[in-house]
Amino acid sequence: MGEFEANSRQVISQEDFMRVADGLLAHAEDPSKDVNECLVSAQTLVQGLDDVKAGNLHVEPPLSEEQVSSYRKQSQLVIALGQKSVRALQATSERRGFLRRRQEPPEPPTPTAQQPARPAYSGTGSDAKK
Amino acid sequence: MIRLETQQLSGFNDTLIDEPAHFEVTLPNGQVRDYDAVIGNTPAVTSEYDAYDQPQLVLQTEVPDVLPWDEEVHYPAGRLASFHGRTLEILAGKVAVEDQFGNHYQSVSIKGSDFSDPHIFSSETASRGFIIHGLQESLVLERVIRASRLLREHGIPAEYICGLVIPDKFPMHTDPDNPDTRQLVPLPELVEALAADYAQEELEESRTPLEVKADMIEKLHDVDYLITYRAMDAPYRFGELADPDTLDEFYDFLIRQNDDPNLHEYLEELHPMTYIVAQFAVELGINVAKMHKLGVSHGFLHSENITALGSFVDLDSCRGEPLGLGDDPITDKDIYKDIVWAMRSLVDVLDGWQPSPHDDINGFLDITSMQVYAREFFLTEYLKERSFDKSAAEAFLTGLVSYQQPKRTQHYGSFARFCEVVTGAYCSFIGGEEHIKDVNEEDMPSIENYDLHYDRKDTVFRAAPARFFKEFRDRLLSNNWSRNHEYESLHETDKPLHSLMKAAIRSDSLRFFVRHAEQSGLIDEPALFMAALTMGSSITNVDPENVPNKNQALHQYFVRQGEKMVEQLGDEYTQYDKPVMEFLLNKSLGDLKKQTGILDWENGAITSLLYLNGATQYERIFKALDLQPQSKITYINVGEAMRRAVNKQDDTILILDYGVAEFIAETPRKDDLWKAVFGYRHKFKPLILIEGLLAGEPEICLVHYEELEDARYKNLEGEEGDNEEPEKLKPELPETVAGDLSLDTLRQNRLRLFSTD
Repeated sequence: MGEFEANSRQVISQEDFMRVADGLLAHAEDPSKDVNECLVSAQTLVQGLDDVKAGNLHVEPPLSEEQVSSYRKQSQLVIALGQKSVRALQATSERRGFLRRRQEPPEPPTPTAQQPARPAYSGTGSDAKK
Repeated sequence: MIRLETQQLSGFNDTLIDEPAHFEVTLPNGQVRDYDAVIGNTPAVTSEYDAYDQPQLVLQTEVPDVLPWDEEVHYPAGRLASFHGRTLEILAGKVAVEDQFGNHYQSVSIKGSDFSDPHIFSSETASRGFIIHGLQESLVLERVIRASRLLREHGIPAEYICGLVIPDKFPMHTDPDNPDTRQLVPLPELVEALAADYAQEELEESRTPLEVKADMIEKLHDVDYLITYRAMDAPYRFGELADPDTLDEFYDFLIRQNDDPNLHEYLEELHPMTYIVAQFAVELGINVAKMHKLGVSHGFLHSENITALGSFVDLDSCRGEPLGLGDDPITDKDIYKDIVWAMRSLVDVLDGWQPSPHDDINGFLDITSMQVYAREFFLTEYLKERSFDKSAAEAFLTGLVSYQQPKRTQHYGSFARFCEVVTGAYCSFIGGEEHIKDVNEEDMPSIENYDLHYDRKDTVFRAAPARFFKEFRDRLLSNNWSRNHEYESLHETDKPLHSLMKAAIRSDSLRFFVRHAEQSGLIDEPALFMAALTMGSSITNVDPENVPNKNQALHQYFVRQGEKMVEQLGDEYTQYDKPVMEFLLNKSLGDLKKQTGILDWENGAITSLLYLNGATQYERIFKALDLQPQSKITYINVGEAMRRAVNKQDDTILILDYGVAEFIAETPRKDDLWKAVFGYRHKFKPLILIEGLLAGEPEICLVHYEELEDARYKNLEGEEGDNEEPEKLKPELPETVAGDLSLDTLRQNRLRLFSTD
């Protein structure tokens, strides 16, 4: 159940549920927060909603359908944006490529005094020069 | 400032960095730094304090607060005061770099290591539309490296990308209140943090900050930030030479780099104007021509992308097939753009040398002339370097003028001077070397004022403007031309360019008429007299000891010229030393004609030429003209006016220059002034209104015509008791002339101005 602390009968008041859900959403939608942290918050909210739907968590009085739909829609949007950012940042990291090359210095093809071998940089994702 | 952990790269994609054949940085204390020592110790600016307040930055290794030039430092670096401010210059006593082609460089700078205020901002020139302030995006580097090599290989002075490094991590501020605190973060973390800042600062209605942030991260996902080492011929950009102090520093730099006592002596005597006008402009013309011959254009050839020695930097905008990046061949438009921008840079820098209004009157005139000379020299050398034949040069220049059409907001005068430049360069170009020997100080009094030592260097005045000394002057001031209106005698053939020359003569060149009249003694020529008359028409009482602005200084000059003419023309013209407007106002045009006689130019080709250079007198002029019984207002452009003049049509020509029209449009008295026009229009004798001395600017004609119409109807609405129907008060424009007011027709007329009439 994570953030949603229910009692022994797995019941949580609607007020408590919404307090936690709103907090998670606020955190998830805060652009200053780390993108991975935002993802976790949004996913936690989705998990809570799934638990409610599956009957593992009871909200008293129950949330309206509109409330559930709104929370799910907002959190899914955050997740989509977060995943998009994570993929882009991963691409940024991968395209640098130089960390990998530092660990495995390339063999110079034909080093000369004029042109000592140094790693060529590929900023567009093409194969790194080895 | 910190030292960055970086990795040196041998190239970008398939394009390798050309390592220098020789690389030596000598510090002021005598220590020598080699290539690896410099490239392996990349400094980074990390605070605003570093970036802006400290005149000299020292890259420290271990010792804090080390003094400048301490032996413990690898090398000192300072910010290069260029356009973007993201470049550090290695502050050395002397730099000696040579590339594989034998080109030499005297300065090394580091671009893309300014972390004082990293933030994302939009940039039209950035590959993804956004860029991080202070850093250098990777996507353009392949183009930069290739362009640099191509230009250098062909002996074209350009920045030499001699080193490329990639930062391991990036310094990022963590405490806004303490700029010295920073954290080294990997690139993804930097991008995310800056994207978050951007999203929170640039609030949008259609997207949430989280969406903006995610979009920005995705937009920049394939952009990296690399640091380049650039060898250049000088650490000063041409634009900086507009500042006299910086020009002195530039001279000091040249002396420091070249231990040649002769150079020291030469530079001490070299007037800045000589350098900019006669040496730099010539060098730049050659360099631009070489680049274009190669099939490459720069794209943004403003004064900050050219060094003070005339080589090209910031090559990311270079285009052309030879770069091997899939570019289309460069077009005439690309070429013209480079030329116009380069010439604009000459004008801008010389603007910085505008003398005080209290300087000698010739000072003002000379600055304007210098701007013309500089561009002429540039363009002449360009034409020569391109190895054009005569007809190719004519076609090229005609295209250039078409490209540089005046815009609605552009003062016609700048275009008129542009025409002078083009015609002057053309004459110099076809005149060839034979005119060099014609140059002497007596022929160039204005240049003499600037103490130009043009005999000190072969290239100085190599492109001496034949316009003034041979071809152009002879034809311009020939009796045939001014007395008999044989315009075509300007040159043997009648090509479009010659009509262009006529346009230049007809426009801003009036002052040159006067100058040449003085020089040649041809002041009895009616045209020259009229030129002096019209230029003096706005003369007001000027205290020679107190000249508050350039215009008055200019007027004062023509007062003097007028006095000289009065003296030589006799008692009949003793009133010329009074303000000419007063003179005209006190006389009817008929009296004026009768009295002067000289206004009856070739049996009345132009009954009277009236040049209004002061809107304040506008209303009074029309009151004076109220004496005339008939009215007809015709709107034509200057080409049509000249045609009528040539055909000896007995019209009164009223020339209303663009500056006046603009003034009227902006003044609160606008309606009153236009009212004066239309209030009296029906009483005028045939009147031709030329709006703009180069009224081939159709937009100007049209806009002003519409304004006239609007003003007229406002006038009617405001006037009670006017019995005339509005329709009857419409300007009585003949169909044929009214047709001339269409934009297309005006454009055609404008083109006709530049083609044979």
